[in-house]
Amino acid sequence: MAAAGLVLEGRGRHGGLPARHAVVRWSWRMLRREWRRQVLLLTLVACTVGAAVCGLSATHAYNATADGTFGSARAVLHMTGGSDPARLGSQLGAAATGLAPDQIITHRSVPVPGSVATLDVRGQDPHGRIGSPRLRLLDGRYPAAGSATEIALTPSAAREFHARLGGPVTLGGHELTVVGLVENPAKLDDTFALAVPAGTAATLVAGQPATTVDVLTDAPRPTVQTFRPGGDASLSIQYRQSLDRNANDAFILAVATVALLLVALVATAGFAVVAQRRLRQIGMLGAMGATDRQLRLVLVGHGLLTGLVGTAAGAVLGAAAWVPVAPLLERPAGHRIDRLDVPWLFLAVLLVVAVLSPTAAAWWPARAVARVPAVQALSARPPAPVRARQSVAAAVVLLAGGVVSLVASHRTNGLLVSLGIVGVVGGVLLFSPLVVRALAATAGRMPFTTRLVLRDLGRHQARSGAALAAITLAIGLPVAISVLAGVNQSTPASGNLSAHEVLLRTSRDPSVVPLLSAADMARQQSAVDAYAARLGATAVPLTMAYDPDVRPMAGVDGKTGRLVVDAGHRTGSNSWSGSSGLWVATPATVHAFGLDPASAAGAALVTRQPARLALDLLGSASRQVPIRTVHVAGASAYTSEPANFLTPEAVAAHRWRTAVTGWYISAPHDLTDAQRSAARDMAATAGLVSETRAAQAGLGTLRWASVAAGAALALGVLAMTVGTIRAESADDLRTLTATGAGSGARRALTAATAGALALAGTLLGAAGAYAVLVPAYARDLGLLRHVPYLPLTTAIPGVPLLALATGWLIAGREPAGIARRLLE
Amino acid sequence: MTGVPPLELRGVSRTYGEGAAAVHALTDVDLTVSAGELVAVMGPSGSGKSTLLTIAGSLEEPTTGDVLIEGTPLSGLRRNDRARLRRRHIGYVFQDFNLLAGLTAVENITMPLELDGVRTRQARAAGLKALEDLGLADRADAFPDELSGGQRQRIALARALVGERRLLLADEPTGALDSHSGEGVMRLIRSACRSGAAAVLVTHDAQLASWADRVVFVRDGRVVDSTPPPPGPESLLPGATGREAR
Repeated sequence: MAAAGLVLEGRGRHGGLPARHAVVRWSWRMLRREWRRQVLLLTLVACTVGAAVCGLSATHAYNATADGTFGSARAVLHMTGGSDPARLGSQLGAAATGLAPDQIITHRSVPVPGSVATLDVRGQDPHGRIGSPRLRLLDGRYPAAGSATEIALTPSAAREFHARLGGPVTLGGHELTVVGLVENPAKLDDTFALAVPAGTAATLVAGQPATTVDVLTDAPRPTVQTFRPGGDASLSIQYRQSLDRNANDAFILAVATVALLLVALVATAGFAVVAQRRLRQIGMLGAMGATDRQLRLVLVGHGLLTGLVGTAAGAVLGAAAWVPVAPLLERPAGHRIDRLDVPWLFLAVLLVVAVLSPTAAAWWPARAVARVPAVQALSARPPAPVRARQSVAAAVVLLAGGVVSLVASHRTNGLLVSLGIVGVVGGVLLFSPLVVRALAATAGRMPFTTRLVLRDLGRHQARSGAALAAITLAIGLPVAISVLAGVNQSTPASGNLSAHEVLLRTSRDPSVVPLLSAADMARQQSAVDAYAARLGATAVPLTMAYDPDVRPMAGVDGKTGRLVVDAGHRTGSNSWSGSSGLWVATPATVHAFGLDPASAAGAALVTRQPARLALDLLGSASRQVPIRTVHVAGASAYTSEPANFLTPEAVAAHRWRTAVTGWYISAPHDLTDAQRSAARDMAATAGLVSETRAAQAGLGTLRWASVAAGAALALGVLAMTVGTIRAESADDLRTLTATGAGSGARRALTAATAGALALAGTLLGAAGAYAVLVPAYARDLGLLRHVPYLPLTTAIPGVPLLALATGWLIAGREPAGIARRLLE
Repeated sequence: MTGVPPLELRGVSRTYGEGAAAVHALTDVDLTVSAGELVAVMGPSGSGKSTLLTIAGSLEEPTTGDVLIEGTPLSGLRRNDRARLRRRHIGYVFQDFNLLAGLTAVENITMPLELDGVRTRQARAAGLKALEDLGLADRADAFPDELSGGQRQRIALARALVGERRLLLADEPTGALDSHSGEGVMRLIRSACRSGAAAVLVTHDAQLASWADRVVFVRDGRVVDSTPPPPGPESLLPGATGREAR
């Protein structure tokens, strides 16, 4: 506006470069001057960036596409030639002609004593071009090429066979010398014995004929698809999945987004605090003639500097943490991790965005504080809380969009998963101001200290809301990780038995009941009972039926026995699919598995598998007996747990006989490694085979580490926020002290502030975690039934109680005399 | 004093709140301050003195009435234009100094110039000149917490007057100072007025008001009287003749 007497033109509306320089200079000076106050914010930003760097690297490494099967090959052809070396040799010849294979790996299975498991004896050239990523020498040396007496074992195979380096080991009845310890670095649970073949066409593995062959090739897909090995060989082809990398990238992107959101929230909470602390100075600057943009620049400049310093420190911290964390992840990830195999591009983007996040996070408090009238700012009164209606509307929209995305993703569409996670997390976080207002609204009926605290939280809504959002995310992440770890531990596809179950069988071959003397049977029963007693459990005998009219036959483990009755359905003119175990519903099994015989009156077979209703009986002299099958409740999530039962009435009707073929033990606690090992030893001694759940160590560590990190971050945010809220309320505190309030009242104020924020944050965080997981697992809600009570109870009452106790302990000091608030 | 007055308030009223909770901080205030004139505003606590000053300085808007700076009504100016007006034409001095921690004495003085786009070197030269005039040249690079109260307030005064400013608004500028330092500050204000600046001084100290050319009394938001000041102790100084002695 041109006006008489006034000069308002020229030199730029906002002062140009000199003005920006002056404001940033002041920001930098304040950052340096108040470095002790900034340490907490910088530490939080650095720790969050560090956690994001380490977490991103871990996510990348954990989800790296497994090359344990492929090595560096594009495709693997599995050929089964039985035990005929000539036939296998002709197949290898065909492969050599048609595919020019890069590497051939031969296999032979041998039984593990005392276990249902078998060991893969593998013939592989350790220096093969594309198979070598599947092999690493840990100790000793590789066996000599073509040697029929030397073998190398993985550590797990050495344990199972009680073998040691340089000692003997008997595999499938042949004695060999262990010359080395090896592993598959791309698949650590790969248990095998390694022999080195004499050449690419060799069909002997450690002097014994191979039964299957893997041909690893880089040949183009059309060539592989048209390859025919000839004869009646069974052939299956696996191609490396190129989509895995995309899905992995999408997941990493989602993790990075949430991590950056956490950085931004921590920074926002911090800058809301800084903004309030600088309010009077900013008011002075406004009175001096600074424009809104210049006032915003004070905090935005501070944000940029914080971002630069915090990100640099965080990157160093994250890299330093990654070095010791990487080996800890190898076991849960199932493969060795190269510390330099990190997503460099994602990390670079993360660091750039991490620098910008505090800058962007500072913008909102800067905008709010620049709008505060100078007179109000000079009096240091916080801006009036804005209505939460808009944020609630945005929260509802984001939440709904996120839920829809997650449900539609089926957990397979990476983009929808990422959008869903971001939507739900954003939605939940936007509820924070509403929660703060709700807390303040409930203050009227509370005791004096709580009332004052809740109203202060409401008065300082900007910083309380940001802090609550940061705590929510800090707690929500570990809760989600804990639940997911529980899901992974209980996924049926990955579980044969639960961690507290043991299944013992009298034969490795489930289709044959061995013919044993009464003395042998008594000895087995005694050994099993003794083992069960050591676990504090009872062994439930498992009985199978057999047709006495069917002649005895040899099982796969060489034991002579009777063919057991099984149930299944016809899959072809001359083929059947069995039920993998048909047990007689004795009173003991009815009790152990919670069957209800009354609901299956008249049925020949009861099953806990819903899809298994059209079954015929197999194994009797008549071969095929149509039966009535009834489904009963209590579906098992585990693949080896008995699920199909033959009723005693059916046994009697067909005049079959029964024999004990195994025992089921359900211990009152999860089995330790020593107890699993004892089961195997007992079974080997008593002529039985045992089956227990494969250990999934590492997920528990991940669960606890995430809870600890989340709790520490939440407490850090709390310390930063509560400290400043109480500092702003120092006048109230002095008034209280002057009116006779003692240290108890002062302690109660700080403790209640910390406790209220922490409780609200943890509850909202837990709710947010389930808001992500429930729609993501909408079709498999049963997987979420394993609630991780211990980590959850540690996080939810633990963090608020710790915050409460810390607040109580540190807040007893009597405030200094009536001090005046000076800018300097 | 002729020409356009640096400050003119016409029928200014300011009301906070609404309905029954409404508080009338100022009611129909008319005030004109001429160039070179020092006006003291006195009144009891809560009478509206500080509100008058913030409205005059464009930090607050009146509910009704007009404020004219150098003849230009503020009502038509946008927020950023008012900010620019403050940094070019209006200087503030507060009771509690309000220097920016983290900036040296000379940087505090030059801040309004730099905010207005003056290059750092030029602004520093102007700041050093101001410090020299104050006798504080040796404290140019001292931070506020290294200065005494009197020195801080003199720095604040220099900051309020640096550049081309011709309107000084001071709210209890000596309230936090001892009498000796307070007198030094008042001499500087008086000196600025002699150089042509107009100044409004809010105080409830009659002795300070005696430095003014005119005293305006405010009660319950209304100007109830406007008189020449009572003779102050300095009038007793040998050779003193009224205002010129100050």
